[in-house]
Amino acid sequence: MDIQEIRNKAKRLLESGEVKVVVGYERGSTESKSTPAFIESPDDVDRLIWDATCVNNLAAYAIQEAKNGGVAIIARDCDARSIVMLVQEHQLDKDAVRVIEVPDETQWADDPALPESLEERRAFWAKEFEKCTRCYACRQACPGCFCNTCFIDRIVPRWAAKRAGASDAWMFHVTRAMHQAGRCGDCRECSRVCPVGIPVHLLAREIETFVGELFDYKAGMDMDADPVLGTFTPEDPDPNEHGG
Amino acid sequence: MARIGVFVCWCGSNIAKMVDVKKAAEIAGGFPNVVYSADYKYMCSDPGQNIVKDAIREHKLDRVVIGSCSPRLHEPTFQRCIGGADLNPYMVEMANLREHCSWVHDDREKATDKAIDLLRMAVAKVASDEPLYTTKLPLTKRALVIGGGIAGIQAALDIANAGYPVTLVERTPSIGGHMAQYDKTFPTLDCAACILTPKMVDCASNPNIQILSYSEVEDVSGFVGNFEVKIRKRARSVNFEKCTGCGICYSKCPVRKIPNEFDEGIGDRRAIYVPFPQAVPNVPVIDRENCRWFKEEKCRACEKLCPSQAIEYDQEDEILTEKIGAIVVATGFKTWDHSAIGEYGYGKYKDVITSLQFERLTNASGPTEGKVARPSDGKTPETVVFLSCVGSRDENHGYPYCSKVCCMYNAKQALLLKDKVHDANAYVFYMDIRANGKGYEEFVKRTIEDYGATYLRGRVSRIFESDGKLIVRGADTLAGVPVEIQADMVVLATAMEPQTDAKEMARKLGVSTDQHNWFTEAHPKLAPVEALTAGVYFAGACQYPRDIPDTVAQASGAASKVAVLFSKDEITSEPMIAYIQESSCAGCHLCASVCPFTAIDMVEVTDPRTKKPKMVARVNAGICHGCGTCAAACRSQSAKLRGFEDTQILAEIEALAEITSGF
Ligand SMILES: Cc1cc2nc3c(=O)[nH]c(=O)nc-3n(C[C@H](O)[C@H](O)[C@H](O)COP(=O)(O)OP(=O)(O)OC[C@H]3O[C@@H](n4cnc5c(N)ncnc54)[C@H](O)[C@@H]3O)c2cc1C
Ligand code: SF4
Ligand code: SF4
Ligand code: SF4
Repeated sequence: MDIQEIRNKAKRLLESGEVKVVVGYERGSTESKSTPAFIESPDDVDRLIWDATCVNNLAAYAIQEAKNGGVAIIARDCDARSIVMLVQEHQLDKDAVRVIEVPDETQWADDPALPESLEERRAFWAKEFEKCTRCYACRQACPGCFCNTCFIDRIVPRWAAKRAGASDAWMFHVTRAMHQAGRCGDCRECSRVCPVGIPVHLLAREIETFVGELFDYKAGMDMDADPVLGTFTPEDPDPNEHGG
Repeated sequence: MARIGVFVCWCGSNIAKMVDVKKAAEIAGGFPNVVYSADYKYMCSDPGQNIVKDAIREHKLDRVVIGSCSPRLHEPTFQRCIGGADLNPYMVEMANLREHCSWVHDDREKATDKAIDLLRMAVAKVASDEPLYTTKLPLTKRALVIGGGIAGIQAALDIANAGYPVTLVERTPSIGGHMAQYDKTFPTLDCAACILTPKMVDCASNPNIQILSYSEVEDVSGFVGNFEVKIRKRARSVNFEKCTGCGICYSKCPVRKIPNEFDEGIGDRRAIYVPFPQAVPNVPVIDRENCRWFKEEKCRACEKLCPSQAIEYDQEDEILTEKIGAIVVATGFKTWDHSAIGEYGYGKYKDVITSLQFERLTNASGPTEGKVARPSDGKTPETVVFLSCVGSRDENHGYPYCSKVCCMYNAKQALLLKDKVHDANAYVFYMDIRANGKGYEEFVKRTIEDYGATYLRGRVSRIFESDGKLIVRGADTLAGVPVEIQADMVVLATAMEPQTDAKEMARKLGVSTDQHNWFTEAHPKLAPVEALTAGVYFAGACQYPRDIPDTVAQASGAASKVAVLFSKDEITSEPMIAYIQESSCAGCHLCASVCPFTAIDMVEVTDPRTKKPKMVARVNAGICHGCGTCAAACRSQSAKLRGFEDTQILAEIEALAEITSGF
């Protein structure tokens, strides 16, 4: 997509007063990096860039910015799904957010192949979780993790020890993945920000596959839809009958 | 330090035969914080309860574990018991050694081990129990009855006669419902008007009953004892106080040919009308869509002729707000519109009618004054075919369920036909005859044997017109032959279905409906008149197809539930309910959407940290049942359940796993 087109859209939104701020990308500390840009004046739209270095999901910024007035977000398909999810979950006011859609040109890293057998999979994740330092970068980056107090930070009761350790990392990652059920748009921020390279997003993706199969639901597609885990009908399938 | 007492019950031999109760009590005596333990034959008996009370005083116990039966059975007993010894009633935990142990095992040694585990868990939990307090909530002793059919009428009368005021809201201009349309009722062939009209009049004259007809419930908020209900009183265009019911207006109204809803379209009414002569209240309404004055600004005949100056064209809808303590839903049923399917020619052939239309044709005060006349030419039909199960027990076109009353009213209608037109032929097609009620089987037999109706087992495949006759083709599956009947009229027993707005009504009331939109009772066997929402009850055919005797019985049941509720002066709210930790609540609405009782509202508060407004969940103590669904759903663990805090459940799990390190 032509960068000029994005800048023009941003300019129009700011000039018309429809939004107070446009959240996009600008050049970072080096040519190979971009950093989130918060454009508040139509004169500044030329700072915006759009290239292969623009990889962050900016949806999470929308929550804060929307409180001060309208916000426009430059978003790929997966990021837009986060925004829809945030509207569904009442974190964002539908009328306060505009999406400047951009095509997904991200050069996604290859996903590691997960082993077929459950035993081998357990071994795979055990090895990954050995590495986890519990820095919580994944949680900070995830647009779905908007809780004020994360369960893992609770002291009463304490769900995991403070120190890093594989079993406590299991507790954290598996619970966090369960908490994304029906909410993850597959933006892969969690894996991208992980300093030790754990492919965290694969956990949430697996859960999304189940949600799709069980409830015929895809996260972040319809602002007016009720979140899938917030609804119940007697026709809902019994997960126990689906090897869940 | 907690001082816990453990009391192990034998339950006669129920527990003792499979669990070594002495050993269990002895070992439990050594658990952390346990200062006393005992066993006894019947802990729930008076001497048993005294053992507990005495031990509380003697050993200065501050919390108690009872190892006995299910808390469903005796938790209240032991709460009262320790309350009697001046402990907070919620400082007791029950270990279920009967249903969860002795009754389901056959190895005494292992069962004893398990009983000890269950006691250890209960001891761990009770150690972290905190005193809980019930709260008193006010109670408005006025009932709302929605729907003025026989169900609503009966419920209103019973509640009023128990001494409580009732607001009866009916959507149409008159109360009476479907029963008012019938001439006779099975199985005794009582004249419907003779038994219904007095009840309608009683409603109108009972000082405790306020009838709001031509009105609808707009909105319901609040909770048991404290509902606030908005009622739209539609503009009648006739002054209620001034009108004497003389009827001059509707005898003179020039707009004549409006199909009367009450006559199922068979008879006509005017633009100003009462739906039927015995209407209660006997005050006409102006149908503004058809009134000439409202359409063309011409006429005003009724105004000129009314001797009491009761006509008021400028009336407007009024919204009344009522404080209500309990609600009886009695909105009844409607019948399935078969014309959409096209089969059987309903809507195409004038003489293919519904059973409700047939009721009007036999009614002495109906459009034909009780003369059975076919709609096409007013002639008396010689051969009438009655079809059962039209849309009932029919998964392809209609509903899978049985409408329950059709077999009986088919028999009634066939009998009435033979009674009124002696040489008429009555044919009834049926799948099987369901006549299970007092006097029902005998009634059907009478129709067949004494009145000579012909019953044919089988479905009708096709109905078409030929030479002024309706040709009914079907099969007699008992004789194994195809049949063809040349009929003058065909009557379809169309399925009973919920009101079109049942789902909308359910949403207003915060109750649920089943897959067909019938209202769902709290328990199909043990709470058949209660909704899951406290203070809301169901009566009559709004919950499922039923006949008049069952409807009246249920209505009286619902009324007695209301009377029981109103017999107290306050509502005690259970303390084991949910609450929200507002500081951590993210305002995501998840708890509110999963709560089966719609007990959670979102409210705006000021965030103490940022000083900015934020939305948080809030539990309405009057509505919450303490089911814990919200607590399970909340990701940030801000929704919590008193008496079942995470710490308490974890203490039990740790005790089971014998984790002593703690977290
Ligand atoms: C053709 C036919 C013949 C029958 N014959 C017999 C018989 O002989 N004997 C027998 O025992 N049973 C008979 N029944 C069954 C009988 O009709 C029902 O058992 C009975 O009518 C149920 O009473 P109800 O008060 O629950 O419902 P209804 O009679 O349907 O009354 C419901 C009332 O609620 C009102 N209402 C609906 N929605 C609202 C709303 N939102 N707000 C306010 N008011 C509302 C309606 O206007 C109506 O007045 C027959 C049924 C049919 C279809
Ligand atoms: S991919 Fe990761 S960061 Fe993105 S929504 Fe899913 S869990 Fe959150
Ligand atoms: S689910 Fe939890 S975070 Fe969400 S609104 Fe309810 S209490 Fe608040
Ligand atoms: S405990 Fe159950 S009834 Fe109470 S608020 Fe939570 S979900 Fe609703």
